[in-house]
Amino acid sequence: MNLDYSPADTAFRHRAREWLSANVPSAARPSGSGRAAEFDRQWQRCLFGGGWAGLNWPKAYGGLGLSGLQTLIWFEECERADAPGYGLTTIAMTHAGPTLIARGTDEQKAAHLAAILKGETLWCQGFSEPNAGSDLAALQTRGEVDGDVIVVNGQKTWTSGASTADFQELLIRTDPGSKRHAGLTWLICDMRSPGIEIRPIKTMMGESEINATFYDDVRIPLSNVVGAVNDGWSVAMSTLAFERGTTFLRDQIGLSAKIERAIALAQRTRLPDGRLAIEDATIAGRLAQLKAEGLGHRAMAVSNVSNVDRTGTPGPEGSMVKLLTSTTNKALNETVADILGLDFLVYDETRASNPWVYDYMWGWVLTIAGGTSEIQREIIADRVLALPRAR
Amino acid sequence: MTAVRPGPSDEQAMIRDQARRALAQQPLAERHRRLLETRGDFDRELWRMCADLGWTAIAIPERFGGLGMGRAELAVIAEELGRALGSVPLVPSLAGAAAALLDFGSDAQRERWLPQLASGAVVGALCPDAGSGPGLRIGTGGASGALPLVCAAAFADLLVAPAIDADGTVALVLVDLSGAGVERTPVDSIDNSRGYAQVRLDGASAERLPGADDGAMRRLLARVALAAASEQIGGADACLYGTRDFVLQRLAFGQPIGGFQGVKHRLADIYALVEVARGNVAAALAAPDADIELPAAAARLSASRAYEVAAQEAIHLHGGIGITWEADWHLHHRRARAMACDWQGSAYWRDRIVDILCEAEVR
Repeated sequence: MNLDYSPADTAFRHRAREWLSANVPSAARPSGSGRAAEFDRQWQRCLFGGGWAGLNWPKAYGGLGLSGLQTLIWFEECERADAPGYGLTTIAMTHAGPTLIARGTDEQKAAHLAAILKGETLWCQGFSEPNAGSDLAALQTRGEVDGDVIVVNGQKTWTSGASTADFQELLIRTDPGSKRHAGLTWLICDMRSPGIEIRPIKTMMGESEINATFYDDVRIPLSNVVGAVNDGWSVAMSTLAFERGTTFLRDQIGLSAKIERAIALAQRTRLPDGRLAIEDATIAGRLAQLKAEGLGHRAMAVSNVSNVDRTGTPGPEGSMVKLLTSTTNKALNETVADILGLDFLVYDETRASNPWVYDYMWGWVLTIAGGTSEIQREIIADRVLALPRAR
Repeated sequence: MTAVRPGPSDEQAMIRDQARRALAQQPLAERHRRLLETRGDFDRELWRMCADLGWTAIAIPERFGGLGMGRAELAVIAEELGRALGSVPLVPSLAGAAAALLDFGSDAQRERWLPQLASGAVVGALCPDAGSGPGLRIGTGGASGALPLVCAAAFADLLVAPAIDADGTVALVLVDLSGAGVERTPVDSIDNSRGYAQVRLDGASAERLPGADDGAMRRLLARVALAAASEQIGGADACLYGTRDFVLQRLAFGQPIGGFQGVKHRLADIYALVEVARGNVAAALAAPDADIELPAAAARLSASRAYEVAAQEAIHLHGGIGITWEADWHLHHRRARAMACDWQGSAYWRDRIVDILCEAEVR
């Protein structure tokens, strides 16, 4: 494709590259949620200090108001510089902040947006429940209005970063007789409220950065309702639409870089028969296919963000980026497994010991978290192809 | 190639049912999870049970303390161990070391080692090749050299491996791993219960298996492939039916998720993968010894694929629960990847099929 960057875009890229080369931390992100949270906060403070916080947040709210294309350029430069990702600032920066901008009151915006940009507060998500995952509208955590507070009881699950978050975007059922999408409310929940209990869930990688969160008579001021009581579904959907807009771009860019690393690996790894892996026609063919997919995904992502820049609304294209990136990632991990053979198996349950194995396992999280592949396909089938709904 | 796929004999069905019942009473997944956090050990309690029930003796002749059954019965037990996530080295010990002794060993070697393998007192390991490095050399001063990662070498007592002798020809040797001149370095791995270790020999006591000729290792690997494929099929079957049960009871959008085509079709695909692998194993079990390599290669390729896909889809179709430590699916996922690499991976078996087809062409 013929992609002409404007002189302004090119200048932006150079500014980003220069700043990143001077400011990307040399230390790796530590493991363990407490130290990781401090690392992520520090990076957010650094971004803010350098004038790089809130890429696509509107300027009126302290952001940079970047176009989608410039956001993509920024992510490309971040990958090139091996800059930290959002990490535990993800929910604050890509969910809560944009949702408050779209639907929050002036008081809510004043209380939270600047603090998020400066890395002062971390957020976590309180959407999924044990019996409400892909079917989010089945959620049952309930809230009763009692004077000027809502009293919350129930359980959320898969809460990443619950123990380090200051606030939570909490979706609950406030109309007791309601079904499905009606009767839900989107709340700002202070994670230090009495009655909240966090229980770590150990993942298959042996870590515990996700949690089950329990609510026992947690009292949340009515002034923390975003949107209106019982109108939480529309607020949640604006959150998720934003997530599907540009959040997964960084993943796509990361995948392209990983494909290059896999090719380099094949160029230096010997197979048991003594040949280099890249000299094996099967492996070379698979790497070529992956490279072609990575190029195609990038081209599609660029064309998507250009469309969003023109029309102003993120469409369901982000679902395709998420679906394809997470699927190709798995195929890449399996190819690397075949390149390394027995050596691929060496792993002590830490990412540092073998990032390829870690990614191989984590790859299964990426087709579940943030909307399963099935849900992404439903979105494409429903909203793009206008196919009848099976459910 | 047999036209009809024979089912298990009555005796084999009885062995299968007994094994399945006995294994179902053991918390094997829990023990597997604990082994993941331990380096270089296996499920010794289960191994004792295997010995008590005669499984370690199953394919060893009665005159060496075995039960005198064959590879079909070994396949039955391997499948049940795979289904139950048993963390024991039955495949390398029996289909590897014991089979090597039976096929290529001297009487003295057989008498020394087979009764101990049959009783489970000795665990065997098999290194399929010396890798691209120097491998092993054997001479008057014993065996020396370095081997790549070998499954079960962390805890095995006996190793069968190829070595180059003074004349430059490749022999199969038997190394007593408890003897002098043996240095093994267990490594942490994606499935620690498999006991991967690097092995370095420096004048270790080693004996040649006198009956081994040029094609000995290839034929031995076919035997191992067949037993491994059965273990993989058992694991795949556990993933398939465990997931089937889950999608029947997990509700979303007002119905069991197993009713959605996106879910049910994936399970149907896995069923097909498992059945193809089963068919290949049955064909290999029915083949005469001389013709076992091609169906064994097909069995190993299809079973490796079936187990990996079934374990991966089990994680995915269980959703968030599937990625937790407490769920069993990552145990299958880890084992499926490890087993896909052990005793030669898919690349070797694809190459072998090409070679066999080319040889047939020339004839």
